[in-house]
Amino acid sequence: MENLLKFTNKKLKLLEMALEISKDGGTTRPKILDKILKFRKVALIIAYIGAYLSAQWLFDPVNMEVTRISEHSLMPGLVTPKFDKSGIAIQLYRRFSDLPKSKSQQELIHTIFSDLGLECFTHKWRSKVAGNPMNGENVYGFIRGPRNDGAEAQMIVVQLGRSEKSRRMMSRMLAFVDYAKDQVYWARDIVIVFVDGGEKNDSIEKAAFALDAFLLKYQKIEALNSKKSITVEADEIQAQTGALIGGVVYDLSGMAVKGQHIVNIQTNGLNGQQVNLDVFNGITKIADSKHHSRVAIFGTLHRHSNPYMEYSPFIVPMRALYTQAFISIEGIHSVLGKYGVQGLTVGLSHDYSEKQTGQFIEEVSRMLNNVLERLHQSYFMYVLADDLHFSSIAMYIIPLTILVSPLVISAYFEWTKIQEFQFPVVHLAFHVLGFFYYIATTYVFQTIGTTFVLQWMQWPFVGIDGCDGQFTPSWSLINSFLIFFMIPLGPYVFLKEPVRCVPSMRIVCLLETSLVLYGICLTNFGLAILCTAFVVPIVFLMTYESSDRTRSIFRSSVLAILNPISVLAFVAINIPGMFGQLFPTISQDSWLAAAQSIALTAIREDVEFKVNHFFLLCCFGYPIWNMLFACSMRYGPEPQGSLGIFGNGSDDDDGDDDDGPQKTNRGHSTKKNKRE
Amino acid sequence: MAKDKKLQTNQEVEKEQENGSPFSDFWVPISAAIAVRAVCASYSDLFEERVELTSVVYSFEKLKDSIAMVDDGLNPFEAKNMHFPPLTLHLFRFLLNTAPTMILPLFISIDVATTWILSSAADVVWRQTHGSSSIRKLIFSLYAFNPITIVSTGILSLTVIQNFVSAVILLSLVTDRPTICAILIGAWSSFTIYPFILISCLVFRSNGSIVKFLSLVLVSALTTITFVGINYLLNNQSLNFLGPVYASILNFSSIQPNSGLYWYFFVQIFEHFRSFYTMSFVVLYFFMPIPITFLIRKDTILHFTIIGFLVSIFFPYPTLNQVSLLLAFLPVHDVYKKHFRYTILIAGTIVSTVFLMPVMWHMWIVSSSGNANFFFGTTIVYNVALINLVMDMIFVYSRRQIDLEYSDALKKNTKMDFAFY
Repeated sequence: MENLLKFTNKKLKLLEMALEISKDGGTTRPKILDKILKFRKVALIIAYIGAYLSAQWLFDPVNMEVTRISEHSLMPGLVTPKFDKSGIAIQLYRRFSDLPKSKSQQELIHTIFSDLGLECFTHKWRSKVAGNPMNGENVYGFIRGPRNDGAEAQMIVVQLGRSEKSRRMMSRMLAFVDYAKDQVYWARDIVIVFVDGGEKNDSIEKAAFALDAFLLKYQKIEALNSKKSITVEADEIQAQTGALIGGVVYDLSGMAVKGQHIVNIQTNGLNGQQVNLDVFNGITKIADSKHHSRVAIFGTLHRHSNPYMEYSPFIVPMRALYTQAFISIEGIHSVLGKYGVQGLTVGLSHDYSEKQTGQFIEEVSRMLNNVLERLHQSYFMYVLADDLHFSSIAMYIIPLTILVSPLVISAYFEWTKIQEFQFPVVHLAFHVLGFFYYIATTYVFQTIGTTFVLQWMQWPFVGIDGCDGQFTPSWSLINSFLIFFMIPLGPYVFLKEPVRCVPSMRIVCLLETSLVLYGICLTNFGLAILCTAFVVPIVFLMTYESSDRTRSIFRSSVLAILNPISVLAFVAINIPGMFGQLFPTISQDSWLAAAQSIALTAIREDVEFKVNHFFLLCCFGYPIWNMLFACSMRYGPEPQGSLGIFGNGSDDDDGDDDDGPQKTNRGHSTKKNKRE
Repeated sequence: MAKDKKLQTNQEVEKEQENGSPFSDFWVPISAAIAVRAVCASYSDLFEERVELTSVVYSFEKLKDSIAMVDDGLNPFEAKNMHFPPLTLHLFRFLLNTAPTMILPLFISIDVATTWILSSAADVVWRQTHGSSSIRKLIFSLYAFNPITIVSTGILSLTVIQNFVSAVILLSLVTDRPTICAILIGAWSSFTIYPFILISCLVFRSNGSIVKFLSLVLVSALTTITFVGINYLLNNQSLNFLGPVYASILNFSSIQPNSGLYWYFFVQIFEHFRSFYTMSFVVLYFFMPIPITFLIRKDTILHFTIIGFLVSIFFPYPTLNQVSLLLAFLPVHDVYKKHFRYTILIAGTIVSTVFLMPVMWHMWIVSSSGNANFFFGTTIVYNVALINLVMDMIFVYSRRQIDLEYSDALKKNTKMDFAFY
């Protein structure tokens, strides 16, 4: 009975609050908002603690969802494999090994396809990016499905190369082609592409670019847009099949430890895209149930089944977030998402026999053979903890929301105090400037290269480097960009022409930051959460009201150092110190070299693959950083909020005790100002 | 005498200060507005396929497709998604054939002229209510430097022309030229039908005479008929354009994604309910001005703004640029400012949804990590925010009337129990 009374009282109180809201037509601010605003000063600390605790709970595999196959048509992957062409694979391996230098691998593959009676073509491509010239030649062939209606197809990708692993993988794939051409159950054509990635360390990026060039032509992007690609020049595709629904890149990067095979799977694509979780699950199931192999993701084994080492359950989620955020080209498959193809890289165990490799490929191909339509069930936005557990967007968005909340609360607090909102025009100007940096830098990298000079008419100038018409010495694009990007223009602009209403600027900065972080979160959670962890305290503290001169000078100086690229370089250099061996580190150990490396990578990936890091950096990072100076620098006293336990003034006592010069009294468009 | 002269000189100086120099007040902002539009046009390929900025009735790319059909001797009105009247087709065909390079300058000029006309209209209203002219610059900046208007001009969206007509109607309304208003409303209605409800604004320019109002309605209707007649003649005396141009607007037949309310609804609905909902929505739309006109009788400009928003919100194939003109004009309603209840909520929602629309589109179409609900979610929230704005405008009008009529009885702590909405 008591409980019932308590419950009724509680309900009545809620009803009372609702009625309170409706009084005066809703012009009175709901009390709940006043209560939230009381915690504004400690919101940042509460948010950090809340986000940490929620992340701790959410990213523990025990609390995560268990993976499952949602697309039932994928289940036929669990078939009895019948691949039996091991001998062919071994013969082909010998042919690849004995290949004379006068003959290319492309020619050999072409010959083998012709011998098998299958269509095969070469595809030459060239990068038009002046800052990173590349060229190569892919080979592609088709296995036509007897039951195919021509609407859809699947893709298999293997990288060319002269290393032993590459030769083994190519020969096994060709043996599978020999086997598959005789099967009658194919309901989808199979497109097999051998991409030319060269032999150097950067071969993954080059191979990804090669696959990008193939897909650009295969998917008829240029024909659809009637615009030529500005980055790639390539041969037209000479034979066509249906729309690609799925693609798998095979290599032999997996391991075998004490007889236990480990399959290495990579799932991340460009700009936070990930493969449909069903495809990942299907391959995991095949590896586990048919081949008794463990699956490693992000180079780490399933925690519960790893008998070799003990490590934290958070290592894989952390690596998943880091990889999604900053490793744009995780594997060759990373460009597949750009063309709407669900793809991933399967690193088969290098200790698999020819037969086992062929059977694995057969099972995966038969799984994708049964997809009824474009993969749409299951999840595209997830964070993997191991091969059995994941967190979906509905869950992992919680810590980010908690982290961003101090900015939203602060913005609302400013709004309650403000009397007249004046949109700062300089806000637009900084965005235009940031966009100009973006356009100019990518244009130079695209058309001129990594060094450039200013050139005028040929006569009478003869340049320093002996080049006709050269007006200036050669400049490094990266260094020029860093100089322009890292010089804080904000202090100069705001000292020269102070903003008329600092609270308006605060609101704009706070809301824009929140909106951008949330927008990024919807496409690339890893990038969003890692940025949020660093950006939120900076923006919160820099927009906090303070007319104290010493504090303003101090925080403006700190802000000048906290340029977005400086922060990135600092974190990149100190990763080993902060996270141990959790993340891969960049080789540079000086701050400047790290900044140059970050800038070069961001520009190159933007131009070549349309990775949006550089765009975000220029069009949002740079303007917000500069606009924060308007809030961090000194301005006149401003009214204390009448809300909250920490503010005890009212809007009427604003600025009357102002002893500073009028020019710096920019706290508010106060009533005093109005009277003036 | 000398004192008077001195006083006069001081007044002139003050007036000059208020007006500013023609260079900074006229040439600089106009040059900047032209420059940003020209720069944006050079990057038009980034924006021209964005569904938030173009729709089947405003897309220049689709217009060019239709013109190509005419050039090839085909009847464009047999195509599925052709919604341009013959007059538009032949006018732009002539421009494309004779002076294709002049189309962009023409669009830029029209948009800048819209800005100027809008700020002039705001200036007139401001002078009437406040006696000074400090609003002109603000209105100019709000429209001229709105990223959506800039991009829309860059991609040659036909909403630029629509906004121009809307601005001229507004200027005619505030300067009390009802006949011009009626003619323009009639002409504009002959293209997209929906603006016809703006005729309700002329109730307040009829001096209380029902005959005058009906005659204005007649003028407007005759203008519409004249334009339809011109279309008939231009279309080889065939009326086959009526279906694609007008019926498609009234029965929501083109259900491609846009920033409006209806496309998703008609994608999802069972076919046998379609006619019922079509009729309901059309009747609702043409009925809405009646109660609003009865309610807001003392402020013509607010009435025009509300009806203008309704035209934009409930149009079947809208773009984001359709409300740019009215949003830029909002500061004119300064007298109501203190009564607005959801300013930050509405502003924040509009900005957030406009930002999220391309993100959601990317999730749906590009990365496949979302579906149509994601994009529709943002568009419906955007439209709900606009509807909230309209409701808030109706509220502030009523609230101010209470202040004006019962100011003696009202005390500081008087509580008024309105409904939440």
